[in-house]
Amino acid sequence: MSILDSQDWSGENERIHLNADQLEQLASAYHEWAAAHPRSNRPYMAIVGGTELTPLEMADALRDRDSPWHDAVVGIFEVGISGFAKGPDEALRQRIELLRRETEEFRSDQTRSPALG
Amino acid sequence: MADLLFVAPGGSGAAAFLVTASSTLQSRTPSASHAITALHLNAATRAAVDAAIRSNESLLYFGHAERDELGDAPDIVVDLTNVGGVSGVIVAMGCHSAAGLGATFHGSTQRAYLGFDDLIRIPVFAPNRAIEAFEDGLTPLVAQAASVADARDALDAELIAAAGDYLRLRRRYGITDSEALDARDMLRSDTLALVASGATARSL
Repeated sequence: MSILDSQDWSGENERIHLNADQLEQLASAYHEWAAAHPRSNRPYMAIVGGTELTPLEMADALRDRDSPWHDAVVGIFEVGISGFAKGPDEALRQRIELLRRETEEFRSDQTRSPALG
Repeated sequence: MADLLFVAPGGSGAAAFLVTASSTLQSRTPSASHAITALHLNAATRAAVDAAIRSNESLLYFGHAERDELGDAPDIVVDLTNVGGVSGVIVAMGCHSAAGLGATFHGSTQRAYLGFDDLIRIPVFAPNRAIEAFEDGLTPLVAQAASVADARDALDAELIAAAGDYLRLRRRYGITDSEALDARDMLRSDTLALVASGATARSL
């Protein structure tokens, strides 16, 4: 089963909290992904009220416990791993693997099609 | 016939999208059921809201909010000093206010509040499936006399459906697998913050 498979979710799943080690692993992979993202400085997540976070700002908020958006960003990933039938550890492993695979794809695309001027 | 006041001050990012949601819901409201006053963009001032709040039974707000305020300082349109002027329902599609303003509706037998007690996170991809979820989720409330409790469930269901669509239709939306998971989980997080309080069996 993949984290990309459709999964029932009701909001009543137990909320899994990431420990410090898990958070560091995720933040590291996400930062690499965001840095390689072709739209790393474009708005990615909007918070009602006007704030918009880019992939890089999401990555910074994930890592920085003092960021005003830290809890909001961490919460997204905790919700993501909480509903997976094979458990949160496997969900996190697959999530990080997916980020690393896409990071390599982004880098490969940049090598094939370097930005003009 | 209960009169409805739509307020959407706009702004950048998601607040701008929500003006569209307000307009869409206004257009879906049967004129035979409700008279409508709409204060959008620059018309959404404190003075205009104060003037309209007592002649409209319910208020639907779309935009920036804090625990005890609807609006973006210094342009706060509803706070603890005028919220009592709403005799019916407040629907507040903004962050946090269900924890503050909404809490003043607890125990009421006449008034109800539907809103969020945490941040609202919206993925910024085109097409904006998330805003469609807000529009479709609130349509039963404005068009079909659904109760506030049922409207909460309908909005919850629409947000979860939109979350699933970001993953299921990610190729059509042109987003990566990771982006689809982020979008799904932003909207799933939003559903955890959706709260109805007060006389939730009532409709608009």
